[in-house]
Amino acid sequence: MDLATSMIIAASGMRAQSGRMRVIAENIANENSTSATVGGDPYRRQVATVTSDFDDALGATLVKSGKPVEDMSDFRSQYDPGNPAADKQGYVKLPNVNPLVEVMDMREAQRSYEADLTVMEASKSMLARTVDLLKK
Amino acid sequence: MAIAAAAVSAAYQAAAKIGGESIGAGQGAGFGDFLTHALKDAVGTMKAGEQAAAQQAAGQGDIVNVVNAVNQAEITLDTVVAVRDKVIQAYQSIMQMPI
Repeated sequence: MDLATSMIIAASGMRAQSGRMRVIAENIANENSTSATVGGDPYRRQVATVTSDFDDALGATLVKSGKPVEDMSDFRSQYDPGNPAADKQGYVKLPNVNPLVEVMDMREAQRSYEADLTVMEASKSMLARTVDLLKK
Repeated sequence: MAIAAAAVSAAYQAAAKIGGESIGAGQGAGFGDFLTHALKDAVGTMKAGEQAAAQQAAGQGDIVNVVNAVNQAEITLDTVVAVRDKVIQAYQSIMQMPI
């Protein structure tokens, strides 16, 4: 059943996008998380990875969300001598999270999820309308 | 009329395959068997859907799985019911045939 398979493929896409959304949520929530120790590293931005995965039983290529990888770019530095995590010079390392980038990423995940939803809806209505032919 | 009969036979075979059982001529399996198999198949899919829903309610499993399983169950049941209705309709047409 090709239409049923396409629904399963769309579902795998939706699952992958929700995984991506989870990573983005972590990044946005930890935007200002500093280190618990003085002069230590703050939260490091995570980047969601999505890979394709051929399913032998299904005979189709599904989407799989891989392990998130760390963004190794530099941390932001802010002068804030009152902060308990500040170093001797009074600078605090802040996470390398850029909220604008995260929002764009979130939009992309959202649109991708919606596209998968549309595929699912279309497949379902194609199947349902074919079955409807029997009911005439 | 031979062509029409062949077409009916082919349609019946195709319908029987949905139920997971191929009924060949002279095998002794009837419409009842086909319906039983098809319904078992549908019930199996429904159970999978229910299981996924229960898992989701218990806090495990994800909503996409539930939607997929329930969708699958709905379509399978719909197909089985449609085929049953069609065959019963054909049976009734035969029964009402003036002799």
